[in-house]
Amino acid sequence: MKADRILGAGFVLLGFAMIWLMYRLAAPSLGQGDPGPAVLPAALGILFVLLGGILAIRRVAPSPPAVEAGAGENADTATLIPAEPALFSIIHLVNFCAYVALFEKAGFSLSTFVFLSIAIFLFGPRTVRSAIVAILAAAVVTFVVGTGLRVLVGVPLPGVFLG
Amino acid sequence: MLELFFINLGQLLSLDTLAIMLGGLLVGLFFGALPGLSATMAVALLLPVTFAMQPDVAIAMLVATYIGGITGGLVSATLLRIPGTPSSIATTFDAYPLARNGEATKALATGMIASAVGGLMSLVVLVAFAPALTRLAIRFGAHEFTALTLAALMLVVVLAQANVVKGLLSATLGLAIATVGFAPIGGAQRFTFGSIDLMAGVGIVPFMVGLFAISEMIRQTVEPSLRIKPNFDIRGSGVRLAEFVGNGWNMLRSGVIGIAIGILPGIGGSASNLVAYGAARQASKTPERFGKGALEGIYASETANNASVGGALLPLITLGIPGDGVTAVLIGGFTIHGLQPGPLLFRNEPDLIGMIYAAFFLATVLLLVIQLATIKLFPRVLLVPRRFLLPVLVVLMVVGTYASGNRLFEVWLMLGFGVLGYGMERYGFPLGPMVLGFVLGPIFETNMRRAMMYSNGDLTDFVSRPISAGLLFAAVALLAYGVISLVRQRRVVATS
Repeated sequence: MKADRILGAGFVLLGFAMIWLMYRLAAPSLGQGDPGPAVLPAALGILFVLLGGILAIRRVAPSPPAVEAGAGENADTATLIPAEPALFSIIHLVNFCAYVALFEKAGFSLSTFVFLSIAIFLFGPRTVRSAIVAILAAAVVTFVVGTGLRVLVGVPLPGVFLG
Repeated sequence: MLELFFINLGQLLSLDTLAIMLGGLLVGLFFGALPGLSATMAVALLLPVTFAMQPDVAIAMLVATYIGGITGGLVSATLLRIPGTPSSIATTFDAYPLARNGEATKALATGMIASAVGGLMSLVVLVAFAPALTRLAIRFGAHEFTALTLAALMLVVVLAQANVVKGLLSATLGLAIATVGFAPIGGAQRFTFGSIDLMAGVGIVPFMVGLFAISEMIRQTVEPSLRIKPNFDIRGSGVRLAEFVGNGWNMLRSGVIGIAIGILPGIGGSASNLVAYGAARQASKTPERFGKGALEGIYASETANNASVGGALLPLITLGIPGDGVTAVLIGGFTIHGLQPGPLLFRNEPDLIGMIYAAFFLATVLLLVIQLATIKLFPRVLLVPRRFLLPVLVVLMVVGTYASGNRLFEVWLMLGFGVLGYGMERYGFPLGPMVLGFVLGPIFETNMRRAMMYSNGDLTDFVSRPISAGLLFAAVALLAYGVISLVRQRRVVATS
């Protein structure tokens, strides 16, 4: 498989990088017999080079037929959920990254409310009604999770409204 | 000891004590189910609450919280593929596919019953063999721990579903990630690139949540998925007696693995569920069904992780050695209430030991009863529309991961591990060996360096000590078995 060759080559490079970094590591030995802190990472680097090399150059045998998990006895209740369109997948990723980036700066409540509103709206039917539902659901979840964890459990979350 | 056990059991069967234990169990279950909140936090949180209680009631509550915390991971692992604790990582492998297949109730019930069996098995061992087993455990020195971690890694690598090369690469990656940060001995910085955040190393919560839960979120977003309505039209829990009896050996083996690993300080439930899962797959007549909803996998994982609870209590009670974070907090709680764990405890305070055993038994039974009584409530979470479920789960994961270290960096790490986990599964790299490599990495390195220092660099000590030699032989034999299996498999495919 082509992917295996690329991944194998990547592991070889990773292995060489680890060996080089550990070669440069200056750490005193802690006593007679101590192999030092560089030995394990360097040994792992060598393993990456060897195993990555095998993965990259070996003749690929087809995989044995896999038994897929089907819907079984409950097939009649199965619903196929299509993948999100590529554009929406990117928006979900941006939304998530923005959420994490703003988590401390804007505080838990504001960042979570905005993230949930956008995510629930995008995963739903994307109508005006669903936008209102998304905003309401986001407000309720933000309040319950924030206040519950901050007040009841004592989790130190930043910027919890009413917490 | 058996007489003391029954006397204490009778004392605990009062309404007040049962209610307090129930409170501890529920708090433990809640903390165990959410990633970032752990059994350690639950016990630590309830410790001040116990100050005003009688010692026996306080100990009963702490033990109940501990057991609830270890078992709590089952529900989120089964329904959402979120291992609330490292002890339930292997549970996600089969319980989650079974739940997605509409059999959530059965998957949960199987796990709950297996948990109770594992807990009770370890209790029997605890009552009957505590001093003898602990004497054996303290014979494990640095050489033996080094060999044991290698053997455990090989077992999981070889028995993983992928081929040996990918399994070894996965384990190596887990070990490599565990080396980031300060070295466990000496404190040298490795792979930190000057980043203060990386100096603390990689936490287990972002690693675990990212690899399993975030990767699943990514999969459900970018790939089409099949959603099956949970089947509620079943009588009872859906677990058949024949299935339970048929897994008798599996549970016995997994229980022994759980107890044996639990006794050894520092390893515990995180490793025992993966090792027991690997052993069950090896012993199964239908190993190809593992990872796709095999009941044997659930029985193995859940029996082992609860059996390791009793195992972990062995060195704690008899030697005063806490095996992990939660038992360290527990020992603090015991000490506050006048119980001084250690070799003299059996002579000085046999009554309180009987109380621990009785609380353990009662908490395990109480937990099973509560869980089975409410079993049809939990799968209803799968009826929540996907557009609400996925974003809310992401929020819980972000909050849990942030709370685990109070660092936003860990949340970014979680996202990174999510992408890594998704990619690894997509290209056939098993996640089990990687997790085990990550968990065992620091234990392996610390003991390997200690062993080398004790022996003045003489490697022959690893093979001249009988337990270490036996474990190393097992590791080599497992690797040889894996390579031979791979060659055979390739020959069969080539000829067909």
